Amino acid sequence: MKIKELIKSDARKKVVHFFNANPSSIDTLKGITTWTGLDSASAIKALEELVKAGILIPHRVSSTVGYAYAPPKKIARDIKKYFQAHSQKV
Amino acid sequence: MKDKYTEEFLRRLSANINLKKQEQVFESMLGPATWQIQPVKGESKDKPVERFSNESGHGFSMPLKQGNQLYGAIIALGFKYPVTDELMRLFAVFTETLMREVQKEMELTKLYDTIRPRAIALSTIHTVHRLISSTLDLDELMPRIARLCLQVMRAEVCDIFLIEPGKKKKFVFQTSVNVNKDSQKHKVKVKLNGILAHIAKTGASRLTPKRLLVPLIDEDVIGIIGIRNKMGDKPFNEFDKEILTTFAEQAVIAIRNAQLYEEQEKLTIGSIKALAAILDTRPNSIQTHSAMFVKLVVEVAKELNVTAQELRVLKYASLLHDAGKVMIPDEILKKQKRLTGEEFRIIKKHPIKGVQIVKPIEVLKPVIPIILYHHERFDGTGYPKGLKGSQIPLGSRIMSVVDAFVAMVSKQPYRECLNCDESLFEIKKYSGTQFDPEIVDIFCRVIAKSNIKSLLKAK
Repeated sequence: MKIKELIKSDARKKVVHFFNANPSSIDTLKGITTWTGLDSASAIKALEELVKAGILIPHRVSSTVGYAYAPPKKIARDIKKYFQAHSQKV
Repeated sequence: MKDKYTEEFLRRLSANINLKKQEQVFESMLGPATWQIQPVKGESKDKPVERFSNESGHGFSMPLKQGNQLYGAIIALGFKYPVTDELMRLFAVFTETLMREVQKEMELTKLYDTIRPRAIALSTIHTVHRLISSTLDLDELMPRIARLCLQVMRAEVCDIFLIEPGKKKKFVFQTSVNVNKDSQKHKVKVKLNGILAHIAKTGASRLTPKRLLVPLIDEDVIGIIGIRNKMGDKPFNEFDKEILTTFAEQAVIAIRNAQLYEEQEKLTIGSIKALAAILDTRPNSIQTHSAMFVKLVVEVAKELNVTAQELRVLKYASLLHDAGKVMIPDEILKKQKRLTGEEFRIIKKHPIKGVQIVKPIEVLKPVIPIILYHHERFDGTGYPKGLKGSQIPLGSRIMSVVDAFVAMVSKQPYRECLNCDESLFEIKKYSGTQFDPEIVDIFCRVIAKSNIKSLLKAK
């Protein structure tokens, strides 16, 4: 998924912004909604879309799913550049 | 730091909408003016309020001061009318309130900026804990720990070395995950020497720009976790060591739990096999603990996507389902002719007897329903309770098919054994009546697999 496509959805943008700022973070849906201010429905949709796009990795166990940031290097650099250039509060 | 704080303070103040409104009120009374907020120059803490008049108009300069802290001054130029004392006092009170508001806002921002990253880090620790505590299977756990470690530490390679149990401690079992090569290896036996041996002996971590190794300690050193090549080509530092040490402490708990569970499992399965071996000494035993019997049950269960726990229970049940026959008199078990009604009534009690044998063993409680109902028939005409269809536990329905098949391909006192095809024909014949049709279909597919066929040929 290209950057423009990635940040097309407000929810995806917020999730990517969070992980770009906190790349070591691994968190559940509940945590992500806390950090991004998104509602559960929007957040889970965005998270799964980003998993499909190869930006996030899900660690799925019986009781929960932990999402972690794992974009390819080039995309990680592009994401970082994008948010640095825009420097906006998401 | 102080300058940055002042800069931010004045920036927020000048952008404050209430200040704009107050300026508009002044202008509505005194005429339009130019407003400015200037940072303080020098250390003058006693800068007074100044009012002035010139060819441009009237104006004032008021220091922006809170206690002893002087931030700057607010300057207004170009009023049509002079600024009165009352208006100055009003403006002073208003500005002081506004500055307190801005100061609080800045303190909250500072608090947020301090607490938020810590809260995010804490949430990560909590999530990692949940993820690694969710399994007691060491083979599943070790790669998971490695992958999570890479995520948290932002490194490219994670190696976990578990020291081989025993006094000599000469070898380790290595699990490695490499994100760049998208590769993973698990349980590779390597010699414990060099830096690994040193860490195992001393319990001290080792930090270099490209590699970080931390011991896994549970009373003694049970292993080592290491990471290589930090992302972005940055060197590892003391902070990374601190984080990895915290991670290692969590990993140790999960690893030890899994190891203890594995030991307990081995003990349990050993005891069950011993018990099954005793059962095999009885006449007419079809060697229920044979590799083929257990293998067939396991293969059918896997096709049904049962959980790891359910599979474990089925293995135990495979070994013990005819435990109750130990209470059947030899003459009935050895009989070559057709059983009488009374003899068959005694045989039919063996599932209940089997339950009585395993009941006192806590770990075998899940096995009880499978043993009890493995002679029920799908059409409800079985024993001991005449359960029907899905009322019969899945394990019992699987066991029923496998039991019948293995009995047919084994020599009995009263008949010769059937071959594989003949036995399958019989199984299919009773699909829907004696046996669950879905299980029969799966069983036929399992038999068709080449590795199963070779097992049957060997028998």
